[in-house]
Amino acid sequence: MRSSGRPLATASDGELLRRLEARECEALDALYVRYSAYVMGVALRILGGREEAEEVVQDVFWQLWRATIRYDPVRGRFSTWLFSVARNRSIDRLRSRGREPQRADAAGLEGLPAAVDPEADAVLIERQKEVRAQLELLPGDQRSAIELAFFRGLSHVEIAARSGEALGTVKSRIRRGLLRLRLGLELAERGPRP
Amino acid sequence: MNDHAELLELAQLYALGGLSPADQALLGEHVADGCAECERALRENARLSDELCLAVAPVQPAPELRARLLERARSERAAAPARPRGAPRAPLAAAAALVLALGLAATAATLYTRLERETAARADVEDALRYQQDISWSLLREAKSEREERVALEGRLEGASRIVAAIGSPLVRTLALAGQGDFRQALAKAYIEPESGRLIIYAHNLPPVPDGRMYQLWVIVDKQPRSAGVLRADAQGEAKYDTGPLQGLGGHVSVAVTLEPDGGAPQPSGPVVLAEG
Repeated sequence: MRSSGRPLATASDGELLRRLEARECEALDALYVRYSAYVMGVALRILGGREEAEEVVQDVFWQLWRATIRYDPVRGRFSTWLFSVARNRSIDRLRSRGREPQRADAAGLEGLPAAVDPEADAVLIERQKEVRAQLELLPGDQRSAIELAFFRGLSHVEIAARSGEALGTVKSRIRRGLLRLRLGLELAERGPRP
Repeated sequence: MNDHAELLELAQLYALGGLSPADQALLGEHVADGCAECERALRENARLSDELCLAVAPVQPAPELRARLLERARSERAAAPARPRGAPRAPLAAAAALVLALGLAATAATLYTRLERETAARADVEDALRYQQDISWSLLREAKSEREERVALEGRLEGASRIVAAIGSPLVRTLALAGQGDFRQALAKAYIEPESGRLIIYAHNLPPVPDGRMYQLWVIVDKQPRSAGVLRADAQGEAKYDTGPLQGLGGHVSVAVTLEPDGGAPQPSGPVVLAEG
């Protein structure tokens, strides 16, 4: 079943997902072109090695095709949901081989290169800038604790052991950081500051 | 651990991972029991967790991956264009073995092929079930929605949980306040409950107040500012304030915070700290 309409490269995510449901390989290809670099970025950040990260990319898009994983609009945008799936899969792999990424410098949100991808969705790029800007505003200890939990999959107990701090301190730090991030992003969604 | 405040902390932390299975189970039971606040915290942070992935720079995978994926999808579609995506059927191994024993090799081969496909489908379904655990909170919420609404309503009538319930109410108006000028790092959310005229504000990143000064909260009704109280920030720069019932909150209501001399000012006179962005 082939749908007519505008070219797939400019079709919305929703339209591509409908076409994917109709088993159009071209829709899978279009979604891959649009988002594979982001999925790869997340997987590489967590796992540290290209080969394994590319396996995650293959896995995520294959499961999207097989409808083994399904997007639930309750979770927000399709794109961010997809990246979250990539993150979960990567963390699973990290755990299965004993936590540590392949490179010692694989983690850490500081000094991230700016994302420049002319083919990427402009809204996504804007959102990416905003998330980075809000992370930059966080105190270093909050950002670091969030990073260890989010991109290393460490439990709070493990983070506390690493930092030599009380478990309650770690939890409180992460909660405060998340709250500030959320409020900051909500404000950013409403428009630029004066 | 069964105290609501502690479980709310777990709910706020859940999206990043790191909870022990025991804590997850406790939280799940608590949400299933109808705690609207914890459910809301789970929902809000799930979205935040998704967006955190955007902090990472994109990296192009090897070009051949795209062709490989597409080829695999085309082959799969050609091989099983109408393959149902539902749960696997009954095991076919026994049937295949029996047919083979009867000498019907060709039929057995067909059945083994089907068995192979069903096994693959089963692995997919198991994977899907594993993923579903990640979003089990939202499923739980749907299943319990009526109960949660009732509990939330009751909560609004109870003094101790009144703030929580008010924020969860669909009637509540939410204002996002952005830091202004030298206070641009500050941010806040204000919740106005029109029925009671109550205003609750949560502020973050407030700089320490200079000696002899204070943060004063203003409610601006139809462009007329009225003092609504004093915001006292803790060492982390965070402040929470509940005005209690205020009269005359009809019309267009806005909220702002200014830096004023100790004791407060009858009208805003100092620099604006927080205002609607």
